[in-house]
Amino acid sequence: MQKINWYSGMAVFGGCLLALMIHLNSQLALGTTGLSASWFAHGIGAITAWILLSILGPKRHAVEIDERKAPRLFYLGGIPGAFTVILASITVNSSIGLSGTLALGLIGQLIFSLICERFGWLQLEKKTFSIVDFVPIVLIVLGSILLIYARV
Amino acid sequence: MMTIYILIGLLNGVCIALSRILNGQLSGYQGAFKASYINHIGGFCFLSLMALLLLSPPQFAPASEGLMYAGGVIGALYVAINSVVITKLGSTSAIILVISGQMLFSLLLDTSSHNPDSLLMKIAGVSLIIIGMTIKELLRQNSVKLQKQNQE
Repeated sequence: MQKINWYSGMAVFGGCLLALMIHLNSQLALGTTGLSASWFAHGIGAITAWILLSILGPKRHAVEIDERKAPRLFYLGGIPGAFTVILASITVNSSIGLSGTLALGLIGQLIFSLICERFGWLQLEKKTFSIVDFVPIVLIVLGSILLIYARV
Repeated sequence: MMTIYILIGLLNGVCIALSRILNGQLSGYQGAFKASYINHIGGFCFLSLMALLLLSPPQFAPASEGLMYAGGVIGALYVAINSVVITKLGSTSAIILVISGQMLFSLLLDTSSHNPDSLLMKIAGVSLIIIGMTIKELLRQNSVKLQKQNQE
Protein backbone atom coordinates (compact mmCIF):
# COMPACT_ATOMS: atom_id res chain seq x y z
CA MET A 1 0.00 0.00 0.00
CA GLN A 2 1.50 3.29 -1.09
CA LYS A 3 1.19 6.49 0.86
CA ILE A 4 -1.79 8.66 0.04
CA ASN A 5 -0.75 11.33 -2.44
CA TRP A 6 0.17 14.64 -0.78
CA TYR A 7 -1.56 16.67 -3.49
CA SER A 8 -4.76 14.60 -3.23
CA GLY A 9 -4.86 15.48 0.48
CA MET A 10 -4.18 19.10 -0.35
CA ALA A 11 -7.11 19.12 -2.82
CA VAL A 12 -9.49 17.75 -0.18
CA PHE A 13 -8.21 20.37 2.29
CA GLY A 14 -8.78 23.02 -0.39
CA GLY A 15 -12.38 21.82 -0.63
CA CYS A 16 -12.78 22.29 3.15
CA LEU A 17 -11.47 25.86 2.83
CA LEU A 18 -13.91 26.46 -0.03
CA ALA A 19 -16.85 25.27 2.09
CA LEU A 20 -15.76 27.55 4.96
CA MET A 21 -15.35 30.48 2.57
CA ILE A 22 -18.80 30.00 1.04
CA HIS A 23 -20.28 29.65 4.55
CA LEU A 24 -18.76 32.95 5.70
CA ASN A 25 -19.52 34.80 2.44
CA SER A 26 -23.14 33.69 2.42
CA GLN A 27 -23.56 34.99 5.98
CA LEU A 28 -22.12 38.28 4.77
CA ALA A 29 -24.55 38.21 1.83
CA LEU A 30 -27.51 37.78 4.23
CA GLY A 31 -26.83 41.17 5.78
CA THR A 32 -26.15 42.85 2.43
CA THR A 33 -26.36 41.43 -1.13
CA GLY A 34 -24.52 38.66 -2.97
CA LEU A 35 -22.75 41.22 -5.13
CA SER A 36 -21.47 43.32 -2.20
CA ALA A 37 -20.42 40.24 -0.25
CA SER A 38 -18.41 38.94 -3.20
CA TRP A 39 -16.99 42.42 -3.92
CA PHE A 40 -15.65 42.61 -0.35
CA ALA A 41 -14.41 39.02 -0.44
CA HIS A 42 -12.47 39.69 -3.67
CA GLY A 43 -11.03 42.97 -2.34
CA ILE A 44 -9.92 41.38 0.92
CA GLY A 45 -8.69 38.31 -0.96
CA ALA A 46 -6.55 40.53 -3.22
CA ILE A 47 -4.99 42.29 -0.21
CA THR A 48 -4.34 38.94 1.51
CA ALA A 49 -2.75 37.41 -1.61
CA TRP A 50 -0.58 40.54 -2.01
CA ILE A 51 0.62 40.25 1.62
CA LEU A 52 1.36 36.52 1.18
CA LEU A 53 3.18 37.27 -2.06
CA SER A 54 5.36 39.94 -0.44
CA ILE A 55 6.19 37.74 2.57
CA LEU A 56 6.86 34.53 0.67
CA GLY A 57 8.33 36.05 -2.49
CA PRO A 58 7.06 35.39 -6.02
CA LYS A 59 8.94 32.14 -6.62
CA ARG A 60 8.10 30.21 -3.46
CA HIS A 61 5.56 27.58 -4.41
CA ALA A 62 5.21 23.99 -5.43
CA VAL A 63 4.77 24.63 -9.15
CA GLU A 64 7.65 24.62 -11.63
CA ILE A 65 7.81 28.03 -13.23
CA ASP A 66 7.76 28.51 -16.97
CA GLU A 67 9.78 31.68 -17.58
CA ARG A 68 8.05 32.44 -20.88
CA LYS A 69 5.15 34.87 -21.02
CA ALA A 70 1.78 33.39 -20.12
CA PRO A 71 -1.00 33.66 -22.74
CA ARG A 72 -3.17 36.71 -21.99
CA LEU A 73 -6.25 34.55 -21.50
CA PHE A 74 -4.69 32.98 -18.38
CA TYR A 75 -4.81 36.34 -16.60
CA LEU A 76 -8.60 36.51 -16.87
CA GLY A 77 -9.53 33.66 -14.49
CA GLY A 78 -10.99 36.07 -11.96
CA ILE A 79 -13.71 37.18 -14.36
CA PRO A 80 -15.61 33.86 -14.82
CA GLY A 81 -15.00 33.30 -11.08
CA ALA A 82 -16.75 36.55 -10.20
CA PHE A 83 -19.42 36.07 -12.88
CA THR A 84 -20.66 32.98 -10.99
CA VAL A 85 -21.96 35.36 -8.30
CA ILE A 86 -24.33 36.93 -10.83
CA LEU A 87 -25.38 33.57 -12.33
CA ALA A 88 -25.93 31.98 -8.92
CA SER A 89 -28.03 34.90 -7.75
CA ILE A 90 -30.35 34.30 -10.73
CA THR A 91 -30.76 30.54 -10.19
CA VAL A 92 -30.89 30.49 -6.36
CA ASN A 93 -34.04 32.63 -6.47
CA SER A 94 -35.60 30.60 -9.30
CA SER A 95 -37.56 27.35 -9.35
CA ILE A 96 -34.35 25.27 -9.16
CA GLY A 97 -33.30 26.92 -5.89
CA LEU A 98 -30.06 26.61 -3.94
CA SER A 99 -29.89 22.81 -4.21
CA GLY A 100 -30.38 22.84 -7.97
CA THR A 101 -27.77 25.58 -8.33
CA LEU A 102 -25.22 23.57 -6.34
CA ALA A 103 -25.96 20.26 -8.08
CA LEU A 104 -25.91 21.71 -11.62
CA GLY A 105 -22.76 23.64 -10.71
CA LEU A 106 -20.95 20.40 -9.88
CA ILE A 107 -22.09 18.72 -13.07
CA GLY A 108 -21.20 21.73 -15.23
CA GLN A 109 -17.71 21.91 -13.70
CA LEU A 110 -16.99 18.26 -14.34
CA ILE A 111 -18.36 18.19 -17.90
CA PHE A 112 -16.31 21.26 -18.85
CA SER A 113 -13.15 19.94 -17.19
CA LEU A 114 -13.51 16.50 -18.85
CA ILE A 115 -13.92 18.12 -22.29
CA CYS A 116 -10.93 20.44 -21.73
CA GLU A 117 -8.67 17.56 -20.67
CA ARG A 118 -9.93 15.19 -23.36
CA PHE A 119 -9.14 17.69 -26.15
CA GLY A 120 -6.21 19.43 -24.47
CA TRP A 121 -7.95 22.82 -24.43
CA LEU A 122 -6.44 25.72 -22.46
CA GLN A 123 -3.02 24.04 -22.78
CA LEU A 124 -4.08 21.23 -20.42
CA GLU A 125 -2.32 17.90 -20.77
CA LYS A 126 -4.41 15.66 -23.09
CA LYS A 127 -5.98 12.71 -21.32
CA THR A 128 -8.13 9.79 -22.36
CA PHE A 129 -10.73 8.64 -19.88
CA SER A 130 -11.75 5.01 -19.59
CA ILE A 131 -15.03 3.75 -18.10
CA VAL A 132 -13.19 2.93 -14.86
CA ASP A 133 -12.21 6.59 -14.45
CA PHE A 134 -15.89 7.51 -14.35
CA VAL A 135 -16.67 5.18 -11.42
CA PRO A 136 -15.30 7.51 -8.69
CA ILE A 137 -16.67 10.58 -10.51
CA VAL A 138 -20.20 9.15 -10.63
CA LEU A 139 -20.06 7.97 -6.99
CA ILE A 140 -18.85 11.35 -5.73
CA VAL A 141 -21.42 13.28 -7.79
CA LEU A 142 -24.27 11.04 -6.56
CA GLY A 143 -23.05 11.36 -2.95
CA SER A 144 -22.82 15.13 -3.31
CA ILE A 145 -26.32 15.40 -4.78
CA LEU A 146 -27.69 13.33 -1.86
CA LEU A 147 -25.98 15.67 0.63
CA ILE A 148 -27.18 18.78 -1.21
CA TYR A 149 -30.82 17.63 -1.19
CA ALA A 150 -30.61 16.28 2.39
CA ARG A 151 -30.04 19.84 3.59
CA VAL A 152 -33.37 21.19 2.39
CA MET B 1 -38.43 28.68 -18.27
CA MET B 2 -37.09 25.79 -16.20
CA THR B 3 -34.75 24.81 -19.07
CA ILE B 4 -33.19 28.28 -19.07
CA TYR B 5 -32.47 28.05 -15.33
CA ILE B 6 -30.94 24.58 -15.79
CA LEU B 7 -28.71 25.97 -18.56
CA ILE B 8 -27.69 28.93 -16.37
CA GLY B 9 -26.94 26.47 -13.53
CA LEU B 10 -24.69 24.42 -15.83
CA LEU B 11 -23.05 27.59 -17.19
CA ASN B 12 -22.34 28.55 -13.57
CA GLY B 13 -20.38 25.30 -13.19
CA VAL B 14 -18.55 25.92 -16.48
CA CYS B 15 -17.49 29.36 -15.20
CA ILE B 16 -16.23 27.87 -11.90
CA ALA B 17 -14.15 25.26 -13.75
CA LEU B 18 -12.90 27.80 -16.32
CA SER B 19 -11.78 30.11 -13.53
CA ARG B 20 -9.99 27.28 -11.69
CA ILE B 21 -8.25 25.99 -14.83
CA LEU B 22 -7.09 29.47 -15.94
CA ASN B 23 -5.71 30.18 -12.46
CA GLY B 24 -3.96 26.82 -12.37
CA GLN B 25 -2.37 27.50 -15.76
CA LEU B 26 -1.34 31.03 -14.75
CA SER B 27 0.32 29.65 -11.61
CA GLY B 28 2.62 27.64 -13.89
CA TYR B 29 3.99 30.94 -15.21
CA GLN B 30 3.64 33.25 -12.22
CA GLY B 31 3.50 31.07 -9.10
CA ALA B 32 0.45 30.19 -7.00
CA PHE B 33 0.24 33.34 -4.86
CA LYS B 34 0.77 35.74 -7.77
CA ALA B 35 -1.95 33.83 -9.66
CA SER B 36 -4.27 34.16 -6.65
CA TYR B 37 -3.51 37.91 -6.47
CA ILE B 38 -4.20 38.43 -10.18
CA ASN B 39 -7.39 36.36 -9.89
CA HIS B 40 -8.74 38.47 -7.03
CA ILE B 41 -7.84 41.79 -8.71
CA GLY B 42 -9.57 40.63 -11.92
CA GLY B 43 -12.68 39.53 -10.03
CA PHE B 44 -12.73 42.74 -8.00
CA CYS B 45 -12.57 44.94 -11.12
CA PHE B 46 -15.29 42.88 -12.81
CA LEU B 47 -17.61 43.10 -9.78
CA SER B 48 -16.94 46.85 -9.44
CA LEU B 49 -18.01 47.25 -13.06
CA MET B 50 -21.12 45.13 -12.42
CA ALA B 51 -21.99 47.20 -9.35
CA LEU B 52 -21.76 50.35 -11.50
CA LEU B 53 -23.83 48.88 -14.34
CA LEU B 54 -26.49 47.48 -12.02
CA LEU B 55 -26.44 50.72 -10.00
CA SER B 56 -26.07 48.77 -6.77
CA PRO B 57 -23.21 50.25 -4.73
CA PRO B 58 -21.58 47.75 -2.33
CA GLN B 59 -23.09 47.92 1.16
CA PHE B 60 -21.10 47.62 4.35
CA ALA B 61 -22.18 44.93 6.78
CA PRO B 62 -22.48 45.97 10.44
CA ALA B 63 -19.09 46.18 12.16
CA SER B 64 -19.99 43.36 14.57
CA GLU B 65 -20.00 40.99 11.62
CA GLY B 66 -16.35 41.70 10.89
CA LEU B 67 -15.46 38.03 11.20
CA MET B 68 -17.40 37.33 8.04
CA TYR B 69 -14.79 39.27 6.09
CA ALA B 70 -12.48 36.36 6.92
CA GLY B 71 -14.09 34.71 3.88
CA GLY B 72 -11.86 36.83 1.63
CA VAL B 73 -8.71 35.80 3.49
CA ILE B 74 -9.63 32.12 3.16
CA GLY B 75 -10.44 32.70 -0.53
CA ALA B 76 -6.90 33.94 -1.23
CA LEU B 77 -5.45 30.75 0.30
CA TYR B 78 -8.00 28.51 -1.41
CA VAL B 79 -7.24 29.88 -4.89
CA ALA B 80 -3.48 29.37 -4.35
CA ILE B 81 -3.93 25.77 -3.13
CA ASN B 82 -6.35 25.02 -5.94
CA SER B 83 -3.88 26.25 -8.57
CA VAL B 84 -1.16 23.96 -7.22
CA VAL B 85 -3.36 20.86 -7.14
CA ILE B 86 -4.77 21.50 -10.63
CA THR B 87 -1.26 21.59 -12.11
CA LYS B 88 -0.20 18.50 -10.14
CA LEU B 89 -3.26 16.26 -10.43
CA GLY B 90 -4.94 17.46 -13.62
CA SER B 91 -8.15 19.50 -13.61
CA THR B 92 -10.80 16.75 -13.39
CA SER B 93 -9.03 14.89 -10.55
CA ALA B 94 -8.44 18.12 -8.65
CA ILE B 95 -12.05 19.26 -9.11
CA ILE B 96 -13.53 15.95 -7.95
CA LEU B 97 -11.38 15.91 -4.78
CA VAL B 98 -12.10 19.57 -4.01
CA ILE B 99 -15.83 18.82 -4.36
CA SER B 100 -15.47 15.85 -1.97
CA GLY B 101 -13.76 17.97 0.67
CA GLN B 102 -16.26 20.77 0.17
CA MET B 103 -19.30 18.50 0.54
CA LEU B 104 -18.02 16.67 3.62
CA PHE B 105 -16.90 19.85 5.37
CA SER B 106 -20.09 21.79 4.64
CA LEU B 107 -21.98 18.98 6.36
CA LEU B 108 -20.00 19.78 9.52
CA LEU B 109 -20.61 23.53 9.13
CA ASP B 110 -24.33 23.15 8.57
CA THR B 111 -25.83 23.10 12.04
CA SER B 112 -29.19 24.54 11.06
CA SER B 113 -30.96 21.37 9.96
CA HIS B 114 -31.37 18.45 12.32
CA ASN B 115 -34.07 16.72 10.41
CA PRO B 116 -33.95 13.00 11.27
CA ASP B 117 -35.58 12.15 7.93
CA SER B 118 -32.53 13.39 6.07
CA LEU B 119 -30.08 11.47 8.27
CA LEU B 120 -30.20 8.38 6.06
CA MET B 121 -29.59 10.49 2.96
CA LYS B 122 -26.60 12.11 4.66
CA ILE B 123 -25.10 8.76 5.67
CA ALA B 124 -25.60 7.42 2.14
CA GLY B 125 -24.10 10.59 0.62
CA VAL B 126 -21.02 10.56 2.86
CA SER B 127 -20.48 6.84 2.22
CA LEU B 128 -20.69 7.26 -1.57
CA ILE B 129 -18.21 10.16 -1.48
CA ILE B 130 -15.73 8.27 0.72
CA ILE B 131 -15.99 5.12 -1.43
CA GLY B 132 -15.51 7.28 -4.54
CA MET B 133 -12.43 8.98 -3.05
CA THR B 134 -10.95 5.62 -2.07
CA ILE B 135 -11.46 4.16 -5.55
CA LYS B 136 -9.99 7.33 -7.05
CA GLU B 137 -6.86 7.01 -4.90
CA LEU B 138 -6.50 3.28 -5.67
CA LEU B 139 -6.79 3.97 -9.41
CA ARG B 140 -4.12 6.67 -9.14
CA GLN B 141 -1.76 4.34 -7.25
CA ASN B 142 -2.38 1.65 -9.84
CA SER B 143 -1.57 3.97 -12.76
CA VAL B 144 1.63 5.13 -11.00
CA LYS B 145 2.64 1.48 -10.58
CA LEU B 146 1.93 0.74 -14.26
CA GLN B 147 3.98 3.75 -15.35
CA LYS B 148 6.92 2.54 -13.24
CA GLN B 149 6.66 -0.95 -14.73
CA ASN B 150 6.64 0.47 -18.24
CA GLN B 151 9.74 2.50 -17.53
CA GLU B 152 11.64 -0.54 -16.27
